[in-house]
Amino acid sequence: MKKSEGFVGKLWSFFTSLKLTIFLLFILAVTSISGTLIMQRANPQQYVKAYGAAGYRIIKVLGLYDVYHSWWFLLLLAFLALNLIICSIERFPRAWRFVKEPLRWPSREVLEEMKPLERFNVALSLDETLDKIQGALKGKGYRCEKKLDERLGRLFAQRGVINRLGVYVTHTSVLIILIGGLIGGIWGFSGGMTIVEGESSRNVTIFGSHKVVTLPFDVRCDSFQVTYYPGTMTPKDYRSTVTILENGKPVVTKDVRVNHPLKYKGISFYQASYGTISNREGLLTLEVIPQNGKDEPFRVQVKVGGEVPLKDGYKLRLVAFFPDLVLGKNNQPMNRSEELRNPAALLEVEKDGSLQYRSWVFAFFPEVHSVRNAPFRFRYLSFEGLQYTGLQVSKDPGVWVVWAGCLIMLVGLTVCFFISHRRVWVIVEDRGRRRQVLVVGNVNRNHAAFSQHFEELIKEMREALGVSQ
Amino acid sequence: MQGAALHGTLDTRLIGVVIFVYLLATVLYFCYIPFRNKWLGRLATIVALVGWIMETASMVIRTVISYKVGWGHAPFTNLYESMVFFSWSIVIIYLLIEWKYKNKTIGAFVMPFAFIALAYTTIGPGIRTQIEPLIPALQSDWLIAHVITCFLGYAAFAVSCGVSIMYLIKARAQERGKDIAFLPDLRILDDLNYKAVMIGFPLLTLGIITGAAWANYAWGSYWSWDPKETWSLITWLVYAAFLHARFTRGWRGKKTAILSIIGFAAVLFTYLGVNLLIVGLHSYA
Repeated sequence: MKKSEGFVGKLWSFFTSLKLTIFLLFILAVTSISGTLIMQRANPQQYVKAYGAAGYRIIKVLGLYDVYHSWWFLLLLAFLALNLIICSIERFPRAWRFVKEPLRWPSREVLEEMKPLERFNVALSLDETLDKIQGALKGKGYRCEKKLDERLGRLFAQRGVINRLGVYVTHTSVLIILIGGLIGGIWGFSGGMTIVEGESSRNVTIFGSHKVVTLPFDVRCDSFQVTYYPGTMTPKDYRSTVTILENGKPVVTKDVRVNHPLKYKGISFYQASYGTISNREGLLTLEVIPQNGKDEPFRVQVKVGGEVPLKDGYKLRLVAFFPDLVLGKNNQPMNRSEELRNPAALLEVEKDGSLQYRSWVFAFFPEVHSVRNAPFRFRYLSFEGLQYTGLQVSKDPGVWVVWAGCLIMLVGLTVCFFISHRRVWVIVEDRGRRRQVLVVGNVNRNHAAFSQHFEELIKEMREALGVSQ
Repeated sequence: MQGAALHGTLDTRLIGVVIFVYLLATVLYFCYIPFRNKWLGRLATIVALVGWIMETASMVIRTVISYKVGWGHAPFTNLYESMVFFSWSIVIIYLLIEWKYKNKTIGAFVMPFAFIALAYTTIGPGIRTQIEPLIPALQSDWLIAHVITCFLGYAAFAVSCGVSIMYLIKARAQERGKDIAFLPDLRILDDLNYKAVMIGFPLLTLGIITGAAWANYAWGSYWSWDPKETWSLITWLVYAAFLHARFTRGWRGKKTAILSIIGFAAVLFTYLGVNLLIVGLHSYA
């Protein structure tokens, strides 16, 4: 198709180039690497700390702090989409014409130049020969068309013609996925909300910015619970019981767990994180084991900062509670997180107003004790503090478009790779005492497999026609 | 865990044996190339198959043990288990290709990947062979679909990489005037390269899609451009470029062989590099 060689023409030709496709795919791959090595969407201070002031300026100018939403990355994607669309517009008409008219009745001269090719003679009549050959072809999944004159019969058989369109299906699916992503990017949001047990909220803080989205309903966290695999520190389940309230009335209550989000009015709530508020109303339950050999173990409960009597005039005070204890600089105890990952309590035992000793108690290390010959040993049983749940909240109106695109892509790839367009032409000529049969095959891909398939086809034809091999 | 293959549970001890079986298979395949002895070739295939059966048994045993211990799960949840599954996938995809295309010379260039992957489990840092319970994020059926499709795809790309290395060796020798007769024809190698990618690419696509579906359920977003996801896309783009290169004049043969090798390097970075290198750079949470 010759287009004018004006500017538009040249631009069009540029975008029909397959080399451009390869170049764009490669550039997208290479530039994507930058976003995996440089931290994305961080604070300017973090960049200055890691790369220096000059480094930060370069990152800012090049948009490397948010590579996948930068103007040049989106431009590359736009070019790829344009390349895709223009290539398809350019090549689809020809493919469609070919599907409609796949060279059904070429001349004998043309056929005799093609491979694979088989020739043999049969004794049966023209009609019978054509019928039996048609039967063999149908048995192998072909659709046949027949032309019959007095002394000449012709067959055209094909299967898998859909393969010629597979590439357009696949490419369309790429566009659909890009459109789905675009819809989600423009009309969707993704952020987090933190809700303390018993409280509710309707504000979502958008990730990567300080914008707040207000939901048209309230979300209340009734309770949060983490369960561990017995005898280990590995969490088994994070579970928030969440109630949605419209105008103050509860509408739906559901457990939100990892991999089990709550969906309501197009908005999804995911269990993302949690924490323990360890200095407010928290209650520690301990088992106290007297070491004097005669008293039985007993339970106590004590608040953070509070005290509780033990036996024989001893008193216990809970000085501090750490939900996730680690030793920081200078062996200072500190919290690594606010999750109950390594609960530890610092206790003081006093008698008659004077401090006797201090002791640490660990939930997961019951055998660790800092004081020898102490009158009491302690065992951590549980901590009921107020907890808060961190929910990830997102809305993505484009997600079903993306899934549709993915499904279409899988169909397209299957049609492209696992189906081939096979054609078989048969000419049977009445030569008086015998009928002369010419069978020619053609395939557009996977030629080795087709050669084998063609050989089997010929074998079946010969058997059906009673011709020796 | 150094030397864990020698101690530990029955499944890890089995893997210790399989490592040597795969080494033996590799050596046999290497010997087959110059001698082309039919029985040597058959022995190599049988040894590889025996190793694979033992590896399958090990994975089944590990699953059974995990249920007995109380936190049952399929054996693809940590680096050790995925390495074992990776080498398992390589061997089965290789054996299927060997069976379909009746070509045993590729064995010498593909079995080493399976052997190295397993051997790495005994010396690699950060490999824990104990059966571990699943944290909540991993408790999903999507895990199984995602891991299986990704690793079968990786295995097919390993085959294409091995075949491409053979292609480059032979092409280089031919350019210098000294052909290496016992390596298959360049056209056969080029064709095998393409066929392996044709198996791997849809599998990788399915792997990325199942991963996105899982991420959508677990974290509320099917695509967050995190390093693992991004690198899997980079790998996908390289092989997409490969497929388009096949239709471009002058790009068949050597250039596509190089693309296959680059693609497999991307596979390795997606699988291991992201976990071992990028997290260490403290780039982000």
